[in-house]
Amino acid sequence: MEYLIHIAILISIYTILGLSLNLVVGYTGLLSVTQAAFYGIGAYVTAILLTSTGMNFFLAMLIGMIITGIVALAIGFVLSKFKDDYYALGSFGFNVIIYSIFLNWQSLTQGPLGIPGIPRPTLFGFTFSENAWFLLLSVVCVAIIYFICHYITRSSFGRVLKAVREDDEVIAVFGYRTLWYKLAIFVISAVMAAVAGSLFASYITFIDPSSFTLMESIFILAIIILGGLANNKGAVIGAACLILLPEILRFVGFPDEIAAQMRQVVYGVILILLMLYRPQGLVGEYRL
Amino acid sequence: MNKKIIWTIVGVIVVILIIVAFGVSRSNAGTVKVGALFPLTGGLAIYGEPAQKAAQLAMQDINASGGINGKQLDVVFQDHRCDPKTAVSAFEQLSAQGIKVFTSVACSGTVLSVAPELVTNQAILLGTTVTTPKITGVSPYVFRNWASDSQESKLFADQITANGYKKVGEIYEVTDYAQGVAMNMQGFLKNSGVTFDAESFATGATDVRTQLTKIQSFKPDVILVSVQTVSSGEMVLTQMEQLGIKAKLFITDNIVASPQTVSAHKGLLEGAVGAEYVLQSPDKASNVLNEYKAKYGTDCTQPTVCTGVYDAVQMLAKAIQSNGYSADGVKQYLSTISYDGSSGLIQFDQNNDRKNANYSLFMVKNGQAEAVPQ
Repeated sequence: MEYLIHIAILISIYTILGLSLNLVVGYTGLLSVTQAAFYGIGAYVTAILLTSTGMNFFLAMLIGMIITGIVALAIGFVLSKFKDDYYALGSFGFNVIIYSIFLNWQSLTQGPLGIPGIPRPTLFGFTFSENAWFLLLSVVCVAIIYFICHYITRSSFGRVLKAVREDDEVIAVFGYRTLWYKLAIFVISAVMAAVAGSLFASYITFIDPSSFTLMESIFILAIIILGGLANNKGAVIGAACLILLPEILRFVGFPDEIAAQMRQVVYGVILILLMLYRPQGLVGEYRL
Repeated sequence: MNKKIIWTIVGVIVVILIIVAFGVSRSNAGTVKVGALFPLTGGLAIYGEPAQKAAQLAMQDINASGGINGKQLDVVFQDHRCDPKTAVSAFEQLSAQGIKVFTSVACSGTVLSVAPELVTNQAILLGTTVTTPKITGVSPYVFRNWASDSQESKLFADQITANGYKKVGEIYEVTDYAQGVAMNMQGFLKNSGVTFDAESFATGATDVRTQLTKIQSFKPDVILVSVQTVSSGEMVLTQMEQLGIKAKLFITDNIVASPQTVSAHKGLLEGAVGAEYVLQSPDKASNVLNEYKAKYGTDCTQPTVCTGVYDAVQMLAKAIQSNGYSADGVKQYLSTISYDGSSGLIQFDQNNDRKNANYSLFMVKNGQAEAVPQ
C-alpha cells in the first residue's frame, strides 16, 4: 500500500507541474523548458527555510512561491524578447543557469552534497509524517491548482491567452498588451511549479541539483505533450502515464543483468510509438 | 473519443494497481529476499554492474551451501540511477513485495532519501560505496560498510601539514564525493595558513584547461585532483600533461584504483600521493575476485566494491539466519557483528559506520601505486 501511496504522491506532484506548464505551452503557445528551474527554486527555498530556521512548511512554501514569482518575472521579461524556437532556446538557457546556481552556490544550497533531513509539513500541531496524510495534502494542492487552471482557461483572460497562441499580432491589433498577458501567465505558472517543489522537498526529505536538470524540464514538457496540450485533464493523464509507465516496467521479468537497461529502452520505444500514433496527445486540443 | 480514451486509461491503471497491490513479480515461495538498490544505468553503472555480479556471486555461494535456514536467498535488483526520487520508488516497490532487508551501492543522496522510509516500512539497509559524512547517524536502520570520504580528506590534509605545503591547488568534479573530498580537506586545514585555489568542473565536461591554467598561475606546492569517476580523472590528467603541469599531485581513490590510468600517466603521476580504501584481507579478497573471474570470465573492475558487496550480502544472510527476517533482528545482529570477510574484519560503531574502514596512503612509483608503510 505504501508503494501505491508513493506513486500517487509523485503523480500529484507531477500533475501540478504539468498543469502549470500547460498554461504556458498549451494555452499560450510559448515553448518553455524552464519549469524544472521554478520547481527547484520552490524546493530549495522550502528546504533551506525548514532546515535552517525551523519555519512552518506552509509559510516556507508561500515564501518559495513569492521568490519564484519574482525570478519568473525577471526571466519572463527577458524571454519576451524572443519568439518561437528562440524562446525555447532562451528558456533552455535559463534552466541551465538556475541549475548551475543550485550546483555552485554552495554556501546556500550545499551544492552537489544536497540538503538532507527536510522535515514533513506541520499544521496546527499535526505532522503529515505518514505518507497517506501527505498524499491527502498533495491531492488538496492538486485540486486547488486544477481549479485555478480551470478558472483561468475558462475566463476572458484565458481566451486572450489562446488568441495570443494563435496569432499574437492580430490580438495586439485589438488593443491587447500581449506582453503583459504572456508575463502574467508565465509568473502564475512558475508560482504553481514552486508549490510542487515545496511538496517534493518535504516528501523526499532530501534534495540536490540532480532533481532539477534540463532533463526534468523536458520530462514535464513530455507530460503535457503526451497527455494533450491545452487540456487540463491531459496534464493529469500525462503525469499518471509517465510516472506509472516506468513503475510498471519494474514488474516486467527481464533477466537481472539487462533489466534496468531494457526498461529504459522499452520506456523510450513506448513514448516514440505514442507520439507516432497520437501526436496530439491523448486528449490534446492543440499541437505544437 | 476523448472519454473512451480516458476510460481506457483509467481501466488500465486500475488493473495495474491491482497487480502492483498483490505484488505479482516473482514467486515468493521458499525464498528469502534481499533488496538491492544499485546504479545499474547512468554514469555510476561502472560501480553498479560489477556490484550486481558480486551480489549474484554471494547469492550463489550462500545457496550452494544450503541457503538461509533451508530457504534459497533471492537478491532482487532495482536500478536507482543515482537519483533520490527513483531510489525511493525502487525501495517502495521492493517493500511492497514484503522485502525488509536491503543493500545498496553508491550515491549517498539515494541513501539519505530512502533513510526516512526505512522506519515507516520497518526495513533496514546496509550500504556500500556511500561516502558522505552526512550518512553517519542518519537513521538507526542505515549501516555503512565503507569509509567516510572525510577520512580521505584527513589523510591529504595531514600530508600537507607534514610537508609544510602552503599553497594548494584543487581541481574537483562537482559531485557529492569529489567535492566532498576537496571541501573537507579545506575544512581540516582551516586557520593553518594554507591558501587554496579551488577550481571545479561539471560532470561531463570535456575541457578543464582554463581551470588548470588558473591553478598553474597560482604556483601551488601541490594540486589535488578529485574526481567522481576514472574517466573524469583520465580527462584531467591528459590535459595536465598537455599544459606541461609539473606540480606534485594528490589523487583520489578512483585514480589510485585504476592501474591502467596510473600507468598511462606515469610521468605526470610519478611521486603522486593517493588515498585508497584498502582491502585488509588480500588473500580472502583474491579468493572472491578469482571466483568472480571464473564465473564471469572477466576481472572485477572495482575490486573494493565487489568484495564490499559480496561481504554485505553474506552478512545480511547471516543476520537473517541468526535473528530472523526483520529489520530489528538484522539491526541487532549487525550492531554486534564481528565478521571476517573478504574486505577485512567488519564491525560497526555506535553510528552504524564500519569501525575499521580506513583509507590508506599510496604513492605512485614507476607507473604503479604502492602502499605507503604506516
